[in-house]
Amino acid sequence: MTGFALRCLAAVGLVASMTATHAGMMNAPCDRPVVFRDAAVNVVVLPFALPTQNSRAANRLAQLVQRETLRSVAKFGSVASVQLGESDDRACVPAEVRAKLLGEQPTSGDRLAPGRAVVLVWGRIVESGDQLYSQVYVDFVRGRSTEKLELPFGTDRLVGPLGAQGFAGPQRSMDRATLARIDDFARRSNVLYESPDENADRVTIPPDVPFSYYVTEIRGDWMRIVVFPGSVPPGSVNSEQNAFGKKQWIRAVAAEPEWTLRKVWPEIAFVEGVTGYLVTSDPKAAGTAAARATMAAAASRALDEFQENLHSNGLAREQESFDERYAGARAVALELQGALQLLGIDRGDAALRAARARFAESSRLRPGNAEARNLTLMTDLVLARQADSPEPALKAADALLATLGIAPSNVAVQANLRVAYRWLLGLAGPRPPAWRVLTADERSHLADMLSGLNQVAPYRGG
Amino acid sequence: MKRMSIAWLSVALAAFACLPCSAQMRPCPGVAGPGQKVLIDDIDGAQSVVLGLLKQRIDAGLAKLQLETRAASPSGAASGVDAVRVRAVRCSDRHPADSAAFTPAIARELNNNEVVLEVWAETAPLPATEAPGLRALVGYALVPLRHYVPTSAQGVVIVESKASSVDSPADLLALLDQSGTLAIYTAVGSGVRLLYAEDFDQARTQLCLALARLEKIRNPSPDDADLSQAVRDMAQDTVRRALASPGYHGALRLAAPVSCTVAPL
Repeated sequence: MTGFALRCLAAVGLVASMTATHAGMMNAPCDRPVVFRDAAVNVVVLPFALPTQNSRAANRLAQLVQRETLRSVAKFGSVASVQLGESDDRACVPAEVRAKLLGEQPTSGDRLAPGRAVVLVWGRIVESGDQLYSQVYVDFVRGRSTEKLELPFGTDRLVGPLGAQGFAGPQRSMDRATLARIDDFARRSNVLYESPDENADRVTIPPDVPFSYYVTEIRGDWMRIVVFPGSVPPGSVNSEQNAFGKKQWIRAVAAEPEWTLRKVWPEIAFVEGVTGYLVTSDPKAAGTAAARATMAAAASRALDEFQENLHSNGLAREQESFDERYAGARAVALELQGALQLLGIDRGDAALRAARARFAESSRLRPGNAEARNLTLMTDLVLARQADSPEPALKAADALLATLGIAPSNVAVQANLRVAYRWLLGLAGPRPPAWRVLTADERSHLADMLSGLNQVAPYRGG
Repeated sequence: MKRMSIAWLSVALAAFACLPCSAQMRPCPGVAGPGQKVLIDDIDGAQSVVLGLLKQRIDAGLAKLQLETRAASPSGAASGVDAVRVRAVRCSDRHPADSAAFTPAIARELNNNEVVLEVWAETAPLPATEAPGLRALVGYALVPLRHYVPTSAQGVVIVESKASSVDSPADLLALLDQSGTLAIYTAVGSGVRLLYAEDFDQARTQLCLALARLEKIRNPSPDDADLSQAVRDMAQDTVRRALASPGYHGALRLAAPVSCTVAPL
């Protein structure tokens, strides 16, 4: 990371102006989850379940993940990261935290603001004999809606939801020495320094005490933060009121010569990528077109890194029969990468083809999944407008119809097929002038299918 | 009056006849309530590395199933995502001995409670006649299939693996990897249940999804091949039944598909 320095925010002035950006919180209790309501995306890290039932160690691992995540996503702007800890030996249940944050369950903690997104990360390490196995889970949601791609098409829009918004990473074997080294690193790194230097004056952050912080600067592997007690309203904190005085620097990257956290758990790179996607696709958070393009590229690179590390850390050491365990994780990453291609202003043929390649790859990984096919065929339809004949568009419509044959109640596929038929019949904007005229049989068939689609009604048994 | 007496007598006799078989398995208290469910029975047997690994593989498979098939929106209504929404229910001290434990009465009761799959597992030392080692076994009762098609050999699937030593338990359990299997059997169970509830669209979706996953298995066993054929037949039957149903106005009328196999993109 040498040479990489990103000055995120001026380190002066009231922190109130930074409430939505680069904020972190540690040790907040799981049963009263908290988030930074103004941030476009909150990354919420839950404790890593350990075989020893050691909640402090579990929280320490989660803190490492939280800091590394915050450092990697800070470049996306309006982001925050929260580490939730177990309280009173009550286990954190991800589904409950999610439900509370979305307002589906009562809570005295925070709820996400409308339209804001959360990425939940948790993991578990189990032992069997001398061997440990680790697994990381990621789940993301914006508000209470489904993430979907929309593409203008004639006077209508094509719509494609993602096939999944979460995955369980593959189980990987992990030796005890590596876990011990990571935990030792976690103990040593929960320390604030006066300068970004291991030899500088330092103070250890007390464990189990909730506190919030804002990142005011990132320098290489270090973050400069302003720490304040969790009970203090964020808007009232001044950067000079750091709870630890001049000691404001903390290690934000967990890496040593023998290991890096991002290789031990490649899902951290996925979290970076999906956070970039969620910020870039949030119309309130994203900035200029150029900034969006930069963020989209960075997010896609992180998703590439995730897939490469999945391969090197997993497939190379595992048996082929385990492939299914990777399919879900890879498919989600590919669909996000495809969507990232189409978030910018440039939705030209090159971007569409690049997106199509990702969606088609996702479809190959999950052959019965209608969503990946739908996304692929959406790009085919848009690309077909550039063709010199209607055949590619007719073929894409036929493929959508075949997809309906394996997922007849899929509302997105139904809607897109309706849009395609309308457009082919000239009912949704002009068709390309160079195209041949459709034959009477073709028109009749398309009109019949459109009429049939318009009469489709849900049926739940007689 | 006479008819009622006979009916009551039949019920009483049926209940009496089932007492011994029901007694083989302890009831699962969490089985009631709405929604499709996967029952996970206690996993036990010879204490070993394999036992621990087996437990966590099943847990991991379940977590993966729930996370990767969860619809993003709570209602799922606005999404196009074809999710099987199942709830896992843990059943303590419940140990089906074999497929015979799933008698017609038990299969009916489980099916009435919307159980689509029951999973159990155990480990045991290999018999003395064999080399020292362990046997690991995972059983899957595809409850709706067992209930509606009791003659089907695929209603209860038992996967067994033996290892003459426990030097590499991960290798042994690679053969019993749960993460894909659990999703396949859940989709089959859900699809069959939906088919007999005449929810043809959702049934077709789940059966085609299951078939796509079954066809992805490398080196399928004869049991896998048999299950694939059974699912293929039911997916086609779903279309036939939908088209024959006067009240059905779903999209299968348009697509009128036969095969679940769609051309790769």
